[in-house]
Amino acid sequence: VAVEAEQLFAEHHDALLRYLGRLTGDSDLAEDIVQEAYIRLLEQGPQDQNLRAWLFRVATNLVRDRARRTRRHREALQRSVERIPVADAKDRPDEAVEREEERQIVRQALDGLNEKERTMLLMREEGFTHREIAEAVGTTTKSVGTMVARALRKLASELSLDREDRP
Amino acid sequence: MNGTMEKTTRHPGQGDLVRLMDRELDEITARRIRDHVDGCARCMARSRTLERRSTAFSQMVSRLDEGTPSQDELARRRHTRRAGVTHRAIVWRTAAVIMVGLFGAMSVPQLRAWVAEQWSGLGWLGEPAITAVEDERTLAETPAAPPVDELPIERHAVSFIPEGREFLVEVRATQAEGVLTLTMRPGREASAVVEGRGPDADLVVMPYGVRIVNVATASLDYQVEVPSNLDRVRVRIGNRPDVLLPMSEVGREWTLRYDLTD
Repeated sequence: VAVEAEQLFAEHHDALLRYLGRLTGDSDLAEDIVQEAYIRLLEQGPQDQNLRAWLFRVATNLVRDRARRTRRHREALQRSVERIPVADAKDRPDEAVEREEERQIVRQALDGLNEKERTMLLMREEGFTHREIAEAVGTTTKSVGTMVARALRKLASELSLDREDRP
Repeated sequence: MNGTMEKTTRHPGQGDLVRLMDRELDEITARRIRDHVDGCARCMARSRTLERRSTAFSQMVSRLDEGTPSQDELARRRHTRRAGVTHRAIVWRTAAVIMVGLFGAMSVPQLRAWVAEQWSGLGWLGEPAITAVEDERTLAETPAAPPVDELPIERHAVSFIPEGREFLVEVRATQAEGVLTLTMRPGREASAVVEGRGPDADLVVMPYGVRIVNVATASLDYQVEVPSNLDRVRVRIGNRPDVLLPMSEVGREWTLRYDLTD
């Protein structure tokens, strides 16, 4: 069972890590949650035919629990915003700073959404169906479209996404 | 006067437009809303705004992934890249080394003059010294190209069995260069392969197709194989209008190539 779980998990590991990194803004926390989701999988086995949706739902709930329990999530978000830019070896310093600034702007805009909206947009980005998203955030399938549109509008306003000359 | 559809049907809500964009509607509802949008300038503009926001969000959120990944992730990426270097990639890399070497050598005036002296047919190489000085100044002002061995060469693939009757191939952005090759083949399995120089692109498998999350500066090629037992394929590249390909003959094979540049 463990070998089978490991194979299933390996298949979804990268996408889950990317999603959690975007959701929490903290790569260490994201890695922790990925490991915790894996342990849940080993302990309980997949509780759903759709393992991918189950994993993301469990991971989203774990993020929510952590945030409620310890406030670490919010602190980590704050740290990620305040983090001193680290230059990529390939970048020129000014480019690295610019990229870090862009990341901070996107991060802050995402943090400006409520938890449901953020989760919805990021799960949608991973290709989940509205039904799967609705199950993860606890809403109706039909309301996902409306909430996604509202979240995109908020982001568009925050990030000037509607500007024609946007880079 | 607006279109007939606008007079006979209600304007769809934002949620409906998102559901239409995400292929979440049943066929009848989707057709009704699409017909309305096609005939209603206002809804067409709302729909395009939503799509533009969605695409822009994808591009912007992918920048969050460019941070500092964990050690495991770095190791995994390194492994993937090593495993993914193909014969074609080796040819590219070799060609790039030769080109950089040639350009570097030709920037030295003495060498240019010597080459011109050896081959009188290449007289343009031995231009007056003032030109060479200007060239040097220009070169000095131009940021150095990244070392060739740091050029990211990517190749990764996914395969899956799609759901539904319509297969969507979505390429988020038009690129500096690159080609999308679409092949219809027998069987139920679909596959997608990305190959070329970075910046990298993600292949996101969706129940009804594949989304290629790329950026405009990429120089990547994509090969997508679609099972022929579906009704049609929808190809969406950047902000271009969708292309619908009917697939009436099961088992028929064909290949189409799309230029990804503007």
